[in-house]
Amino acid sequence: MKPGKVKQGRDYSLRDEDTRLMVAFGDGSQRAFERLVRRNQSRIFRLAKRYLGDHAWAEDITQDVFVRVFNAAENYQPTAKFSTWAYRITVNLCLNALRDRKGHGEVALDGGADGNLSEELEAESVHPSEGMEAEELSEAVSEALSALPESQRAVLVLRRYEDLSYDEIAEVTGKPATAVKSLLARARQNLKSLLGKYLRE
Amino acid sequence: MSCEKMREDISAYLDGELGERELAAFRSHLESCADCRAELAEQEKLWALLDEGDASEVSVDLTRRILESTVGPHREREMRRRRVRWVAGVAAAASVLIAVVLWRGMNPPVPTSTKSGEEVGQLDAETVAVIKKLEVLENLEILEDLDLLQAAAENPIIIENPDTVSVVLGEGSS
Repeated sequence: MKPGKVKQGRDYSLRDEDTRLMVAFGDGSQRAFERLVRRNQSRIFRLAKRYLGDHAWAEDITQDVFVRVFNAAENYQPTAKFSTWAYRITVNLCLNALRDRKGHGEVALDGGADGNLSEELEAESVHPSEGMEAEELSEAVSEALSALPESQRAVLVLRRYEDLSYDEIAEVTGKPATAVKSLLARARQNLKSLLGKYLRE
Repeated sequence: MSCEKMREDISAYLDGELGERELAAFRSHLESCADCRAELAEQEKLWALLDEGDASEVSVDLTRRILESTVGPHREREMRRRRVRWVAGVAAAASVLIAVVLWRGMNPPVPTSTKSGEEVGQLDAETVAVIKKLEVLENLEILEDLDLLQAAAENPIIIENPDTVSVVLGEGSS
């Protein structure tokens, strides 16, 4: 890592293990990089899987994320917490991957200007069969997430499954916290429509 | 009726993101609004439902694939770089050593008492100062001679007299 003027208070390498490892890797320790991979591959994969809905695809994205991490070693500054930075890369790569794939697979619903999907969802909503199974619910949740517009999906996954705060989500997605708040509210409304029948059980 | 603003507040409330004053206002609204209470309850159920997301794990070989596509091609390069650094370190140390030996040959030290029976070379403070000035001689071309390097690496000079500066010369540092 190039010597930088990092103020102590904003230097995450002092209190975050992954950030510390990233700095060590920037200084030349390949072992540090290997540890970083082992420590973070699962959660990056989880994020990608929930975003893309496909296991193999998510693994490919995970690999791509770490290639980016690897190449960024010398320029990384510990003012960014490693996980936030890595999530940001993940979200961007997922977004690009989806854009490249549009037309081949399922496309997220649009919902017009206000992002409200209620009309589209009338037709799309998941119908539970008698005797709802756990796998069916899991499948329904997965489909519901895929049906969300990408911006809503991103904030919801980060909030629900990575437990990030609004400020952290704002950092990862590059959106202001006010937008995060409103996107989450809309995501919840849409999910309620999509999964409503399961709520009444 | 739950309006847009209230839905946002309900959402933020569930995420623990309402500020103090917003929180107070929200709670007092909740007391008087059955619709919002119902909506809140539904959203709580929804959140729990989302826990049914799949818990699939990464493939066992993902780590290997990742390392192969990153560290992999660089490993060989890195090992080579390390070897070069070591040799350069030895060369630097050897150059100082040789320069001192040459200098001493021309300027033998005033005999001082040494422990009998021991073979120790002494480097007094004066010599140390000379060594420092001789750092420029690191570039002596005689260093290309591998035998010399080998000898320097294998024969460290250790000075034990506490009255003089202790210097250890030997294997190169990296």
